Amino acid sequence: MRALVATLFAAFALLVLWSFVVAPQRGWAMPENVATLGVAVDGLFAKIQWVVGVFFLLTVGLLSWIVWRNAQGGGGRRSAVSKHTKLEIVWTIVPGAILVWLALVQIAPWEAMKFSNSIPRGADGRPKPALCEVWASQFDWHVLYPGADGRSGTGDDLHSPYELVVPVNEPVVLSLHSRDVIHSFFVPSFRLKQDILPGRETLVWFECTKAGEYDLLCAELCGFGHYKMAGKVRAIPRAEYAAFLERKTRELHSNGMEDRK
Amino acid sequence: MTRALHRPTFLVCGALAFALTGCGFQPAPGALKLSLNASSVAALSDAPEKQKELEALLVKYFGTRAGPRYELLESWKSEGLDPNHAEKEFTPESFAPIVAANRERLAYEIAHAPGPEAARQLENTYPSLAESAELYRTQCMHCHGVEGGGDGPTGATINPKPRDVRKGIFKFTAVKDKARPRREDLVELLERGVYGTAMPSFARLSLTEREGLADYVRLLSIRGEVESMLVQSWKDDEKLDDEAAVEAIEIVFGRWMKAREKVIAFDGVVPADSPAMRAHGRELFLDPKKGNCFSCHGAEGHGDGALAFKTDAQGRKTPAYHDDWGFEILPRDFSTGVFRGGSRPIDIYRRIYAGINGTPMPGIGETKGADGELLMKSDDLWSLVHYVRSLGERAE
Repeated sequence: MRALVATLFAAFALLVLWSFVVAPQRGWAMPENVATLGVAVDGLFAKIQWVVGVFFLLTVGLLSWIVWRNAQGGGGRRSAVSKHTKLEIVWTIVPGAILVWLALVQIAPWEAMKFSNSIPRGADGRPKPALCEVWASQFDWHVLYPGADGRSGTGDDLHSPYELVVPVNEPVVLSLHSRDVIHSFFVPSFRLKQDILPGRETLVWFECTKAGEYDLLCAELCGFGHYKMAGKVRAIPRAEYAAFLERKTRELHSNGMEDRK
Repeated sequence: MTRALHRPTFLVCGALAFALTGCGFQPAPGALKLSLNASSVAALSDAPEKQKELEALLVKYFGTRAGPRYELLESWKSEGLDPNHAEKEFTPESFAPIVAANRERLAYEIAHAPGPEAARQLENTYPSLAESAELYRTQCMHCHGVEGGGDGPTGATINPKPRDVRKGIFKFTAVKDKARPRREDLVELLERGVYGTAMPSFARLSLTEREGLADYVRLLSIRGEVESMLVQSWKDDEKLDDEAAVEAIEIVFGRWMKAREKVIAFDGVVPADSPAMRAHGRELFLDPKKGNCFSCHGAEGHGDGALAFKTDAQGRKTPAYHDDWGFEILPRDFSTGVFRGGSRPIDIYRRIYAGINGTPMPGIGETKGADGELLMKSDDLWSLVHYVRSLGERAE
């Protein structure tokens, strides 16, 4: 019986190990990272995964080995460690040191992502203005692009429900807003997640490195329709982006005649 | 041993808990059915057998929840009309966007289709009414209810209430004269959502799926309107038979067919926004003989006009108006900059021109003054549009 338990423990550890090895090929892992900041996030993720993985295998391996050894020896109490000062110092210092190390290595990515003075600067040396406003409300996303006057919140704003269209391969600053409750702007492919509080402007930035369509999700439980609060980020080359704005401008000035067809 | 005694107890309790709660609390799709409107049941409460007859008539002409379909009327057959296959209402040009949307959505299936003919069929896929009813069940029903009565379980928790489509009244359309919406009005509304309400954008569904949902909503709406007409026919003439049903369906379906002739559009370039237009718009907004908008929307457009409120017996200020669904209704506060039916100038133009169906908001686009002339010239309307839109602008 003990031998069986020991084998199951070991098999479980191997199963977990196997799942991590095959995850990327089977689509079980996170989606491909397509943002500059995501590299550092994935690096942190990998570091934490290694730490957790090594200790997981160590613990489960030891456990299986002890159970297995006891099974061979016919049971009974072999030995017990008690009040072992050196051992206690080791198991306090080692995890503590690992936590401090993680705290130190995450500072740089966090600063690059979240600090207000990390917002990319334009040619004039000043922080880039927001490309558009993203308004979250129960239960969808609305994007407002400033119109010809370059200001948001005026009559010539261009309205894009559901779809956030951004130019690829350049830093993009977004101004996030909520109309009602707390939402969270989450683009898994950019490794970007930011809470949005009602009544407050929150800036985020990213640089998408691959043209394509990516999921935009709400990552804060915001009400009964939270699960369907989805949107899309479409990253396209600059020229196509200009054409998109042009199409939106045409829609804004529509006289409705196309609806008569 | 106590453990041996407890094991069966544990198993029985677990099995009981599972049997009582199941592994989900959704009703099985097969358990859902299209029922009668509560008002029909109340109106026929003295004649239970008539309720059964009415239900049978509705099933005959509109099918069931899982198998919705129109019974083809003789007049439709002679005209070659078949609303069961809404794709036949498209021209090859208007069907092209659907083919493009299918190509995108079914890229994998098309690439792995066994031959060019199968690939072409995939591209031309259009959902049947039964498929759309299933999509309606998963996406819309929890707010809008099984019959589209706006009485789904989550509908009770939100304000404004979900639309009851059984009256055939739709607020945000591109048409005048209280006409039924065009198919495009419903499809675009699904894409855009109703901003400022709990109705979200459904752009994550494909265009084909949204078109299918619009078809199913049309069926629910026609079924609902026909139902109340049949109840009326029984009350007035004691007639509740095929003849009455066919007559009602022809009237209601005819209304939907006429929508396209009623589109409000402006033949010309939309006059650009300017301080002069806004100033003129403000004059009209405040002029009791012209726009008269302030009487409900308030002098500054905050939705606090005198007419919109009444004082009740306890001296409290309450909404003066109700909409056609019987809910209290307040005039829009323009300072929020949120317009439910779309915020483009043409959207606001259509609201001012034709009013908003089912609400006290009147249309003034074709109103004639005492002199027999149009009360508002087109420039006046556009001035109002630009003024109303400017009220939602944020200060710098």
